[in-house]
Parts: sequence; C-alpha cells; structure tokens
Amino acid sequence: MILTLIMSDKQIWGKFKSGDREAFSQIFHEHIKVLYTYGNKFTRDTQLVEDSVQDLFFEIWQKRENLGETDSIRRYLLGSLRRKIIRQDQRAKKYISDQVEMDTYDFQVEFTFETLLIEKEISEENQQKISLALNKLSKRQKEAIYLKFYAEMDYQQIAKIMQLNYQSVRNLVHTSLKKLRQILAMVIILLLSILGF
Amino acid sequence: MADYSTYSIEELAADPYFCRWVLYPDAETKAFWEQRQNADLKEAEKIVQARQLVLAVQIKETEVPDEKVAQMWANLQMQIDEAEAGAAKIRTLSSKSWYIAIAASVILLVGLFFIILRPQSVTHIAAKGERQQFFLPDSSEVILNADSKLVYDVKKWEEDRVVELSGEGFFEVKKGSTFRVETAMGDVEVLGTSFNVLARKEQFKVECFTGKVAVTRKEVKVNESPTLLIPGEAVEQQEEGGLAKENFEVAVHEDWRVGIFHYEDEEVKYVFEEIARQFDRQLRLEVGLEGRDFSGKFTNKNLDSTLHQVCWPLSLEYKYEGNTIVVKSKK
Repeated sequence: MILTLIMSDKQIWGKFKSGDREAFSQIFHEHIKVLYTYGNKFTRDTQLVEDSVQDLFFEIWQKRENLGETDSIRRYLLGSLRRKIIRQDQRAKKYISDQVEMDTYDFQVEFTFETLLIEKEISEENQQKISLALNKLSKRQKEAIYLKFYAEMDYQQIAKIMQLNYQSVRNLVHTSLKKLRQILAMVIILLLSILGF
Repeated sequence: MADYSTYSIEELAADPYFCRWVLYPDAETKAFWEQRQNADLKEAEKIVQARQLVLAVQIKETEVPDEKVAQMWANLQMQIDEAEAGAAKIRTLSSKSWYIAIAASVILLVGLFFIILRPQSVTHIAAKGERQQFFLPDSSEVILNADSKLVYDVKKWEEDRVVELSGEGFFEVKKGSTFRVETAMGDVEVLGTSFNVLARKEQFKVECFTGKVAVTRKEVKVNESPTLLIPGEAVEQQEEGGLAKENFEVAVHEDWRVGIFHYEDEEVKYVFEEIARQFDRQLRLEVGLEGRDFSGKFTNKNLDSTLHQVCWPLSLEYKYEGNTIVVKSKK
C-alpha cells in the first residue's frame, strides 16, 4: 500500500529474476549512467561501450532465471561490463587469440584538479610535469581510485570487479593516494607561485 | 568505530565515514570530525590534508544526457521484443510430427502477420490498494494511483508519445515532442512537464505542476480551443458540462503519491470511492449523498480512522459486511 521507492538490492533483484519488467527498468535507470561513464574509461569507441551495455542488459534479461543472488547489483553490473568491454576491445584491435588477456586494457580518467590547472593558465612545461607524474599512476591504480571514489564501491566490491584479492585492492588504493598526494603538493606550490606568494 | 588516531593520511582519505563527511556532510559526521580536529593538533593536520586529497581525486565526469539514456533504453526494449517474438517461433517449430509442424507454420504465419500488424501495446495496471511507479521508453516517469490503467504502443512511441489512461496518474514528462494523455473524457497535451490527471467515470481533472499543459475535452464543439494551464492551475469537469479552472498550491506535495488524500468541497460519493480503491474494498452507499460535500484530509494507513473522519462530520455510520464497506445515515 505504501509507495515502495526504497527496496534493497536483494529484493529488487529477486523481482527482476521472476520476470518483473518494472524491476528491470528500475535497475537499468538506476545504474546506466555510472555503467556508461565507467565503460568509456576503457576505450574511446563510444559505440562499443553502448553496444556492450545493451548486450549486458539484454543478456541478464534473457537468462534472468539462471542468475545467482547478488547483494550489490551495481558491483555485479560493473564487473560484467568490464569483462565484456575488455574482451570486445581486444577483438576490435585484432588481438586475436584464444586466451583473452584481461590485463591488456586501458583506463583513462581526468581528475577535477587537472581542470583547475588549465583554468589557471599554468605554463606548458609545468603542465607536462604534472601529466607526467599522473601518468606514473598505473591503469589499475586509476581504476581502483575511480571505483572507490566515483562508483562508491568498497574494497570487497572492487576486488570482485577487478578480479583481485582484497589486500591488493587496499594496497592499490593506498599507493595511488600517496602518489596523488605528492602530485597535489606540487600543484599547490605551483598555484601559490602563480598567485605571487 | 575504528581507532582513527593511528590512521595515515591515505587511510583517512580511503575511509568511507571520512569521505561521507568531506563529500556529503551532515550534522552527525560534522560533529564527529570537527570534534577530532579540535582534540588533537597532529590529527587535525592529517584531517586537513586527507580532506584536500579526497576533494582533489574527485573524477571529472561529464553528465550522461537523459536523451542518451532514453535512446539506449528504447534500443534495449526493441531487442528484447524482437527476441521474444523469435523465441515463440523456435518453440513451435521444434515439434517432431510433420502434421503439427505444418499446422504450426500456418498458425505461425498467421501469428506473425498479427504480430507485425498489431500495435505492440504495453499495459500497466495498478490494482486496488496498490500503486505503480514506472518509466516510459523515453524515461518519462509515471505513478499510477490504485485501480488505474495505462496503455501505450511501443512501436509508435518514437514518432508519437501517446498513452491512454483510465483512473489517475502523475506524469513527469521528459522534454521532447508532444506528449499526449488520452482519456475517455478528454485529452491532455504537453511538451515536457509534470502534471496529474484524474479520469474516472464522470470525473475528469487535470493539475499542472510545472511547464505548460493543454487540455481538450472529448465532446468538444469544433471551434472550442484547448484550455491552457500554467503551474498551480487545474481544470475540472463540471456536472453541467464544460471545464472550470481553479488554483492549487504546487509547493504542497501532500497528495495521493505519498498516501495523503486532501479534499476541498468534494462530492462525498467520490471520497468514499477513493477510500474503497485505496483499501481494496467494495462499497455500498445505503443513503442518498447527492449534493453533500466533504472537506478534509486522510491517509491510506488505517481504514477505520479514515472512515470515521469522513463519516462523523456528515452524521453517517459505517459497518463492514465481509469485504464491503456499507455507509448509511446515523439513526
């Protein structure tokens, strides 16, 4: 009788598995934006991302009865999309082999403070210094940071998505935060010097 | 709670409770972290640095436009509809007997013929005592009140955003081409806005919450132009015919969508009908109620208190006969 706006992931997943189209629609609309932006970090081919997202939702609808339980729909979708895109992208780039190398992928992110640098008109030399420092972050480190701070996943969930163990994810996040802190210190000094301190 | 005094800057920045304070501060997190900052200078320095770090690593993300989402949803629905039509075909043909196979193909051909020509309609029904919330293919949102039905054609959706409504529904329409709600009493046309439509038997009422709404009556003289509504305006079908404009408070969102029913000089008959719908009961009125009005508010939480609220001021009595609410005059 009361409007059921807030349902747990478990409940809504159960409804979806029993063929409820409204639950399916709700799942799609709740996660589509995060999935789409996450997918686009792996490749510049937006059509590939769109196709993969559509495939993913089509597949889970087709085999909904055989899917397992999940307590985090977002984690499940992010992990499935990741595998799909990496596989597709390799095919597109003609890495044709029987074994898919889950490690040959790319992951590009842009942090908010980078825009700040462009706005403040920092010299090209200094900008290069910073992007060089940022490039020292591995794709795994960037991805872990992305999942933690943008998709708001916890260590356990990131571990499942990236197919790593819990401790490696913890280490990934910590070392990347350490590197980012050094870069940030550099940026702050630069900005202060521009302001004439 | 973890022992935060031993945390490094990185550990703090990665802590969900810490991030909650930095990104979405509320009274609780604010009190907690400010107290820690005040308590220990060394820790205060770490907190400041960790906070800077969390803010700096926010990732720049361009918002995915709603049109993109709507387009992806429409593509997905089309793929599913096609697959489901195809699956029916495969199942029929897997029969071993030739006779059945031939008969099946004939049926299939006829069936396909119908599938192709038939409009592909989607129906949403909210039963009595229930409410339904869902999205249309363009991501427009609909909430259906109890005992209401909405039908639309998926195939024609791209070129024509039209839904048929009987009952009551609240619409939050995404911007785009004209969006039309057809009812037995009249049509409502909008471009992108939110509004409420009530269309039951002889009742017809449209309330505009945002944007602009055009209302056309079904039995209209050729030269009658549609009634235009701006936010806060409503029209209601009058017994003597014609639509009457009135004003309402847009800011007050206490209405059926949150289980609150508000009436001002409403015919009592309609009020009792709404109660029966909300609580999934039958209704028998053993008393002439013509011309009697009700003003007041009730919720859909407790049937007895609701009935009492409506009956008492009008000197009416109610009792239950099985699943039926019986209303009569007080002796």
